[in-house]
Amino acid sequence: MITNKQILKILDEKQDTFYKGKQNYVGKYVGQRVPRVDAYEKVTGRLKFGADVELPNQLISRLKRSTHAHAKITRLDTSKAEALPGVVTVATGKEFNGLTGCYLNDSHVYAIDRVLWVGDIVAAVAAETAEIAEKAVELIEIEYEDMTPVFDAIEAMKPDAPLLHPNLGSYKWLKGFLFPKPGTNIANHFKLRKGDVEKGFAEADYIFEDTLSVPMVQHTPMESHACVVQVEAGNQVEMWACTQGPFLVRQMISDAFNIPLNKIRVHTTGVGGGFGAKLIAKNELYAIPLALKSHRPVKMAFNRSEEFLNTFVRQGLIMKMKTGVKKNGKMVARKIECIWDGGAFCDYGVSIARSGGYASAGPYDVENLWIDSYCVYTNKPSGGAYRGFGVPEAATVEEQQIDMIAERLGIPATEMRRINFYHEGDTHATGMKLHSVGCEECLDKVTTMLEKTPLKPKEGKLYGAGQAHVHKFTAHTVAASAVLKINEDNSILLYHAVSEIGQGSQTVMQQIVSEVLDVPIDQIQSVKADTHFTPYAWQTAASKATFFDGNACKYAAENAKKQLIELAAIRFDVPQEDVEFGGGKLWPKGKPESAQNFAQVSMGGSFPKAVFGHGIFTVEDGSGLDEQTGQGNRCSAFWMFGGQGAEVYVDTETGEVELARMVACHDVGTVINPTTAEGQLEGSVAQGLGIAMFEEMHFDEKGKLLNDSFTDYHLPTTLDMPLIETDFAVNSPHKEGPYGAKGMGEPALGPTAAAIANAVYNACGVRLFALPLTSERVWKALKDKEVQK
Amino acid sequence: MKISLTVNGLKVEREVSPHMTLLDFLREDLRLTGTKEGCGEAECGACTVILDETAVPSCVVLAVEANGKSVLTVEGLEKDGELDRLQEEFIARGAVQCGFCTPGMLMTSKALLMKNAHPTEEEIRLALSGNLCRCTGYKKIVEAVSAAAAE
Amino acid sequence: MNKLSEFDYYEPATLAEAYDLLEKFGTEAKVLAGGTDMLVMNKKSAFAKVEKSDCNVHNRLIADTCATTTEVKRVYDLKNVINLKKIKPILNEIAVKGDKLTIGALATMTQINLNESVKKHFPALAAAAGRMGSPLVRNIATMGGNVANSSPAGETLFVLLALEAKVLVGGKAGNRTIDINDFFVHVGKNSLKPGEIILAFELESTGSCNAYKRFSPRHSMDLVVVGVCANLWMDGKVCKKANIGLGAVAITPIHAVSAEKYLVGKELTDDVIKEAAKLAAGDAKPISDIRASAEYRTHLVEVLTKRTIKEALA
Repeated sequence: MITNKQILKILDEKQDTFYKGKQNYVGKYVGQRVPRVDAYEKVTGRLKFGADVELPNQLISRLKRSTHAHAKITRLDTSKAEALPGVVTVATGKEFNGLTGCYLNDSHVYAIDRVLWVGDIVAAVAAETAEIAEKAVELIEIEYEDMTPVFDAIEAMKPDAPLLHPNLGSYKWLKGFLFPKPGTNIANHFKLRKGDVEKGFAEADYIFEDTLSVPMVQHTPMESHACVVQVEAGNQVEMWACTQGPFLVRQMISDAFNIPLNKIRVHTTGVGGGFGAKLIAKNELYAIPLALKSHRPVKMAFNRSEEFLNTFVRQGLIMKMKTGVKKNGKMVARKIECIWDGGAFCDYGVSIARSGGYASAGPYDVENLWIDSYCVYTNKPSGGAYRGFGVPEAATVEEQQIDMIAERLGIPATEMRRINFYHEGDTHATGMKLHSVGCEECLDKVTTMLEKTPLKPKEGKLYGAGQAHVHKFTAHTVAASAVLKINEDNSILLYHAVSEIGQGSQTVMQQIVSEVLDVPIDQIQSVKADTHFTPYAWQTAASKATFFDGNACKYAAENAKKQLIELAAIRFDVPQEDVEFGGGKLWPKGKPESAQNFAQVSMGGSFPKAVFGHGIFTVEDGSGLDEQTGQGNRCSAFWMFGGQGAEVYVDTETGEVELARMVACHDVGTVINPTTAEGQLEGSVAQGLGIAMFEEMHFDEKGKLLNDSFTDYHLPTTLDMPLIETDFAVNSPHKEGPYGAKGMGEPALGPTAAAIANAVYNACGVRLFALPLTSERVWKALKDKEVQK
Repeated sequence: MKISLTVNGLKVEREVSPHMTLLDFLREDLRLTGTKEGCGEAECGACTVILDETAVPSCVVLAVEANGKSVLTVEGLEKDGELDRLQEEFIARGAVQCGFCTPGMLMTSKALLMKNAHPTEEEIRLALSGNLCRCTGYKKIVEAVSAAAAE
Repeated sequence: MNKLSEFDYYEPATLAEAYDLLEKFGTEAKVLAGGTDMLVMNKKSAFAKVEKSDCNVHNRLIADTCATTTEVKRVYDLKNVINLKKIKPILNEIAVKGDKLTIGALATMTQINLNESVKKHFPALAAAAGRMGSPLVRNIATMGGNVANSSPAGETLFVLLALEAKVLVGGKAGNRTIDINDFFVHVGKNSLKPGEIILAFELESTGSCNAYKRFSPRHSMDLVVVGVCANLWMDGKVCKKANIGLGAVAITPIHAVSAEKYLVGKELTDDVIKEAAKLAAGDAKPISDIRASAEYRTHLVEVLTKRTIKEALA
């Protein structure tokens, strides 16, 4: 169906230009620009996403949402809605009052007696048609008694702030991982204490204190959340959902409705972009009560406003940095305070405060560190996992401070970074020993790409270039498993729980299996995750899929290979060492003419034996972090490094910033698929550009989101994009990664906004307290500078 | 109202309510779910189809307005097992990530190439400037359209 | 996104039929041109509950003879939608007769943007039509719809103002011409009488040079934050007459009257242009909203006026 001619031509054209240095690993499949295995079903429109699923007799649902930010529900009357012809059922929080969550069970399904943000769900309606459901929602009558809201995280931390979760102490949470403070709005307080900061400051030549921030933004995947849920006989809840974490969704449903895990079945559909928004149960939770009550399938497809308000947002952050440096730029002490604006539910946000906190000092070896990172409840939509998990937010602050300090010291920012970077074998801020550290190579490559810029000066505009560099953690002791079946016709089925959300994981897993078994990619068919028979894996998050699930798939393939060799030895009547394996076949040494394929070796003959390979992977020496010091043996399986450079033109009359060119170099260990890896970097530039220049959730004084649509929440278009150049580090493969690979989906977004902010400063001397760098804000800052002169 | 139109080359006759959008008609009545709803207000391009040779945002076009016209959706690009050049290049050049914006991108590009067989990169970007993508950064999409036009 | 209201739909084949329908349904009729404003406004409309007491209903189960029903209505409702696009001859023709250019109300933005005569004589209008919304929206959105919607930020409105357009309007009582300066009354309000529709726009080419600029965060889509159109009649280096149309800085598109007055009879040096731009900024009366503050909008008027005048002269 794909003409190989064009593809081979492109492989020839591009392979050389891509690999500029020596390569870690270029195998037959791994390291090659394999065309994505899921592309055909996507270009033909055949892949079914969440909203494309349709079950016979299904009902359409709509939500009744709160118009108050913090209020008691004093009256809730659904009778008129229920009486409307065509309405089958209405569900409210009184009937479904279980709490659930990812790491901290603070989330209600529907508001029980209080609403916590404008948009909180008060009731859900299931009806025969959308039109009827929409009318029914309007017939639901609610009266509220307003309570004082709090919209600012710093205000929310004050002792007299309104308490959003008075029962915080009674919630279930992952002990030892989180440290909520009952009686306050602090959902988590993460601490890191390394060395002796005060001693460090005393030894410093200079101390600099800076505070910067980022607002709440939203993932805006092009596909909004959608699912269809049905309840089978025996109260088995089954759903088709566009999720990044089918097993986590299953767990949250179990917690919310007290249903055992083996009576919940989650099928993963196509996912139209996740970025973290689709990691946990959201619309699935809201739809299940309707399915339970109506005994009919219920479809819940979010509209764009619900995507903004009822899924996840990225927490806002205010970060205070006190850094002590020597004259030459070497940092000797850093004291950091992160205050995360977590929104109404912080069940996932708590983890971002934790790891965003321990990564906030950047990819730099600083002997003395003191970090406090708070996740704080506010009456706003719920903050949660967003690509980068705290690193892009913290880097926006931290990497700007590096540039600020370098300028104050009179040294180039690249030199200051180089002096402070981590190296192979160094001890990380969290106490773990670092392996596979590519930050310096990335800095060199980004600097070279910037020096080779094709850009020329533009009349009437100021030019500036800036860099930013990050490191990003992944998960530690999470499980990944994979199973591989060899069918009777020699085709292979591959089962793993990674969600293909656009990052290319489906292809990468198949590349790894192909590499081990030496079979063509299209001999393998991946099966979308189904929690009833896909083996368990932790979510598609934390950039962990290539490493954890890739290894699991590799082990499964190696396990299948081992079984095949055992069977072949019996079949050929030779010792196992004399069985040759290659090209999808096995043969006794010296007798290639007797080669048999996998199906023949296993299922042919008088004692057929189905081969299915299985692999489980986790990191054996992973660890948590000490409550007081934030130190641990290995809190992250690996660290990814990377940097980006931005070139901008600033129109000083209007304050308009034009992002003209973006260069990026990331250390991902080994690049398994250059095309998809480039795609991740190019895509992150677009996302980072949006966050740096356009995106911000605007709330009015009553907590209402004013821009819950694309009219006023601006995503970059084709005409807003810069020239993009990408490269990868080649000198830091990870010894435990499959073929040396680590991950890259998230760090791709880490440095983008900071690089742009630094470039803008270098162009025109403007540095803003908060993103985005809108024209008006830049213009105002330029004006203020003029006045100050 | 009874409407009669051609969809992907096939004659279709249906009774529709005038308030039904062309997008809903395609997805719900004809079960052609390749065309997507991304925003419902013509701000994202995910719902693009070709209506009588013109790329339109089907979420703000009434189904009744397609009466007597021809509609081409992403499902209609492949003919007799042969992919359209655009589809091939999208696959070959990594222009597809999550795939949700892909049908819209393909239809807008198809309409462009129907009017302008050899667009410049600038013209391609302009034509696609109403199709949002959150995954790719557009670079490989523009390269794929360019490559499809080249031959 | 919500579904559209369930409305009754009409496809008049002639203008006379359309006028009859408009008379019949009065305020409960809406005309459909491109639909890109109307349908979206309906989908996003807030709802209002209307309690109706019907005392003629006798309900055996209730002692009272009054029954109250709650009806849910959209604030921006669609009850009777009249599609103008089937009227023959189709109202989308762009025709040139001597110095007069007539653009049918149903000409799409794409049509206007690509039309050779528009590009030649009214490049400002071609540019505005080519920037509004997105390419997809431009393929169906019409200038008639843009003007009838009468949003102060309408992309073509301040341009038509500067280009001295005439609005040809038709109704049951007959046709009339409204000068563009008399057309816009307030936000979303214009001087069309009930039952009237815009038929066409008339522009006269009189040897002026014109240019348009608009400011918004992105380079595609986005509503106009500030728009400026300069239309200048020059005698060598001296300006004989100037129209400066401003968009999104008042309750309607407006003329920058002081700037226009100032430019007459002057040689357009850099200093003169600068001063005119300052005056234009003074003429603007913008509001502050989440898109921009009034202060910034005022500043942008100054910058864009300067740049637009320079571009018109180039």
